Amino acid sequence: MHKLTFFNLGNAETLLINLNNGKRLIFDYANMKDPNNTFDLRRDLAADLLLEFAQAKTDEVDLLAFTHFDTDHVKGASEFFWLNWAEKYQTEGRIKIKELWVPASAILEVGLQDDARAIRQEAWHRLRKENGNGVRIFSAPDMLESWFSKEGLDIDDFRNRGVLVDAGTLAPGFSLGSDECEMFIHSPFSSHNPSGTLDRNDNCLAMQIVFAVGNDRWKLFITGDLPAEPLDKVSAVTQRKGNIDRLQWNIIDIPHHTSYLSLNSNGNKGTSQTEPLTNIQFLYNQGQTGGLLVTSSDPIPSDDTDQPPHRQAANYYKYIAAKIGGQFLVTMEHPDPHQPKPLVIEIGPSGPAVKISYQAAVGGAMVSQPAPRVG
Amino acid sequence: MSTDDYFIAHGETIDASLVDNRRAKEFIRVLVGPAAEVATLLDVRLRRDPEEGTAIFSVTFELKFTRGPKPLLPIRSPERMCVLFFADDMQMPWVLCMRRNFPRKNVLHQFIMPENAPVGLCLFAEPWREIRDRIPAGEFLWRIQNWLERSANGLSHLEGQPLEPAFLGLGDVFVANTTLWAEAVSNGFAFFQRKECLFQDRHIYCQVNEDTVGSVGAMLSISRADPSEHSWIRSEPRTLKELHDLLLDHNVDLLSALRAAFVQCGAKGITLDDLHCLLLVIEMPRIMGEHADPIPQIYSFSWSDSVLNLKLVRGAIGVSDVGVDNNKQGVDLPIKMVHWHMTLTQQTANLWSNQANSASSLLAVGVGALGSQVLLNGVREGLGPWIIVENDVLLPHNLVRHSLSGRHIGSKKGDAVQEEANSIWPGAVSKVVTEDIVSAIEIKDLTTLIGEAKAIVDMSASGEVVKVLSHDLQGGPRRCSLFVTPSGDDFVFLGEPDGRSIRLDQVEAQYYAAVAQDPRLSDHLKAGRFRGTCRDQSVLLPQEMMALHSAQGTRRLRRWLGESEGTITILRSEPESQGITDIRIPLESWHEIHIGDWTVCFGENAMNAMKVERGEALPNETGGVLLGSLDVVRNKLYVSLTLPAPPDSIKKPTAFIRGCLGLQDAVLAIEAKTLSQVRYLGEWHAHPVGSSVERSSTDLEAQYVLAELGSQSGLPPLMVIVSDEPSLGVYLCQTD
Repeated sequence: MHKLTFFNLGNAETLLINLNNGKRLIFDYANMKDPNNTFDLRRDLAADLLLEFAQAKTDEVDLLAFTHFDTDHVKGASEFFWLNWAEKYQTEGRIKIKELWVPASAILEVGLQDDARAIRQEAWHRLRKENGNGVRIFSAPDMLESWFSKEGLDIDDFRNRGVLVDAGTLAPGFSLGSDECEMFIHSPFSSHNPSGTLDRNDNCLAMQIVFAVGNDRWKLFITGDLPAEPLDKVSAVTQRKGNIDRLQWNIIDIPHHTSYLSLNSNGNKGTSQTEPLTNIQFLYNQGQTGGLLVTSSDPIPSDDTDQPPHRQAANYYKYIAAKIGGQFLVTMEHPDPHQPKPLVIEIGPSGPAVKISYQAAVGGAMVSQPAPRVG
Repeated sequence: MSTDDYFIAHGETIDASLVDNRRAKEFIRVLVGPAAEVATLLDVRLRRDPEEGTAIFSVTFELKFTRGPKPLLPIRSPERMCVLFFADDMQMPWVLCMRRNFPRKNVLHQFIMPENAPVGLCLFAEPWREIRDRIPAGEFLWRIQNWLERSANGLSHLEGQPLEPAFLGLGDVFVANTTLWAEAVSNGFAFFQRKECLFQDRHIYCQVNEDTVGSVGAMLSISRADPSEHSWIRSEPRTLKELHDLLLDHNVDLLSALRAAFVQCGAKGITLDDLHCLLLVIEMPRIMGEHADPIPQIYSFSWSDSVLNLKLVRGAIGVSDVGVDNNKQGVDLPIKMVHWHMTLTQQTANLWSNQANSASSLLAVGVGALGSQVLLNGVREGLGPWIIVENDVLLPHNLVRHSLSGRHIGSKKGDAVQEEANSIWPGAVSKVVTEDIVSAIEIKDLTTLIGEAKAIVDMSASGEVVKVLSHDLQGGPRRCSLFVTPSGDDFVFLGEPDGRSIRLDQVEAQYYAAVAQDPRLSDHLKAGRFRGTCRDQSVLLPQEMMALHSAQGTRRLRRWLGESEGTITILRSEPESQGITDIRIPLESWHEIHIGDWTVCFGENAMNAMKVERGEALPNETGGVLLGSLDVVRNKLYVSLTLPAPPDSIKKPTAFIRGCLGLQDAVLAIEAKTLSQVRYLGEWHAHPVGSSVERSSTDLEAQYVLAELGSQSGLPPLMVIVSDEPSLGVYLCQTD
């Protein structure tokens, strides 16, 4: 059984995937909880993940992928992970990264601070000092070629070894045969990036992950914070290439914390429901029966707000969920807005299902988590 | 769904606060409190038990569980459930699925309920009375949720869990043996004699014995169904027609088979007056999973003893003296389910013991206290078949530790053990040779059987048998020897490696060397209170210790049979802690040298010790004494130990005089520790670098002196010279 855990982190995202073969994959890391605020309902991500690794008796994550370097996708990563590039990130208790995935924009972006900089430096280090071992970069725009050239690295060699991965291909390292899991990369496109600066959101990592359970295939669509225009393009290009099955999903990780800007352009929020661009509509229509739409966001407001989540966008997702007999799930509302918990989706013999288990009376539940503070 | 789509619990709706059944009250508290996230309370009702007048509370609720979009069975989330709580907590609360169209077929682990009643969930493998004290309300709810989740996902049946029976019902019991089964399978029916007893209103029928197969008294008719998918339990069919119709789905025409059986009876001149019983046996193999092998399941049904009843049966299915009427279907002819049990076979003994298939012929030498128990332990686990060599009879004092009982007193032990073993599964002991091993190995048939055996297992408690098995018995499989030490504390297992590269006598010699040297074994051969020889055949020992050792013996034997290595294993029962300490001695290789009609065996450890001593003493010569075991019958010496030069020895580059300070004490101590199994065998000394192992003139003089001394005991001492390669010169000091 594969297991997905979406953590309740407010308008921020971390997805832990436990593959059936025991591998652990983390998509984004954003530990947003304010330890000084007792009323903060966001999860203590570091504590949860440390427990996860301790129970598995390992100090290494098989894959750490960052869709992009916004704070709500990278916060606290430099405190949690062991980074090879500097000794100060190599203290006891840190989780080592077997393989690090970042979009090309992350390599090229300048002026980064704090966690984003630390992870960027790690990716640089693995390219420069470790010959590209343990790192993959997604898409190779012209600017990346310049960076490789400047560093004295042979970009073709890195490309041939699968260190550079283009959209429209399967990510190396995972396969249905060995991992019961494959990843088809949708974004970023190299062609997105004319010379000049690279917008983080426009160039974030998006993919379809296919999980095998017996003869069945179940699909998760990860969108990062893709705005409407590039998401529309992902859909359009994939259709044009005849890869409609690569747009199918049983679970979709809704982009940008339910921002209407991931459905339509600025100013087109809609009154009660956002109308998505044509090809985005096509993407959501690829939802399979019983599909789950998951948004890593604060509770959906009843009023209009500037910042996501936007109720109009949420209404569109609810409409899709109703249409396919599925569910629209908000991390900060699951299972209860007053007491949110990580949202666990198990992909078992009957397909993806939100884990519902009453365990209060079972001893296992008591000892599978830290005891309450005493003193 | 409308309310018509659900069953409604009986009784009057009441306010939940009026529930006074402790378990029901707590369950409701959990439903509306901590479990509100997954459960919704719908209704609480009260009704009175019609007979006892006690309160039965029903709690109806909806329950969510983890279920994906493609469940194996159409179980929904949420499902409407109802739990009935009874006044008597010894009765398990009933858990019911209230949806009328809740799937019934192919849902495993449900109770048998009438078609027009809700499906009942079987939540626990254990009897409720055994677990009720540790199932709080929350866990009870979780069990329901887990049942729904696992059933929806097709995971309700755990790997390795026995398959559920096709039918369930109370009934009589019939025990048949494999011969009857084979006869019935071959002909479609079989006759036999039976005996019966009544136990708690149930008839327990057994075949009288295997020999009665074929003699008329009762008849068994067998039908074999096509394999079918492992599925839910059905209630037992009540009439012959019901059973017939059910079996038609499995390609069995029961009525035709039964008519044929009656006709066969007539053809053989057997009248119904000769029969007391008719037993219908249906073999229904079941398959769990697409590629699994069918697992046999057998069901049987019978009519009671009355001849009249059998005549009614015959008539009801259209068989008469004038012919057969296929239109008569036996409608309304009641049948009774009989639980079928087959006597053990080697395979089922393996299966029920949870042991791997261990069919391989073994020769047991000695079935005394240890041997009989090791053998019968093994038989119960399906280990064998065995051939027994034993020439003793069972006497009263043997009963203290022997596996046989008083009814065998005066019997030959081998025959009696065979009888017991073969009553566990037929053929467990295929042959008994009532001879001692020396005579037995000359029996031609036995030699052939030994050639086909996987191992010879010495449990005779006799050192002589080890020698016989090592030397006198040519060829055959690897050997092992099991025995208990005189104190009764330690169990010893000596085993040859595959291919017999180290023979049992050499393994034994090394074992005694270990007893002499290894501090863990310093009191290993300490004497019992009254007896004192190693492997004393009649030690004073309680059965509890012999049972412990024989259990270890069977375990160790099974393990050794599965390995290619040889072993010296000592399992010590610690008197204080009552734990078992496992002491293993790594096997050394042995080298044989033939001198005249003597064979001298050198253990690798002793040879290395001499070389090391020499190296350390160079440029001086050094030496010491040789110790080990001996067999003057077969002219064999086993050099397993050396002692270094005593401190008063004189070591020079061209001479060595072995001193004697403390030497006698050391040798006596070793003899005492090993019950004289390890003793002085001769002298060794080293030659300097560049010298050969040929005897010098001084050595020849010494050899003569040693020969003179040796002639007094009749044992020629050894003289060994250690030098460069070839490193060993071995000489026997004989006066002639």
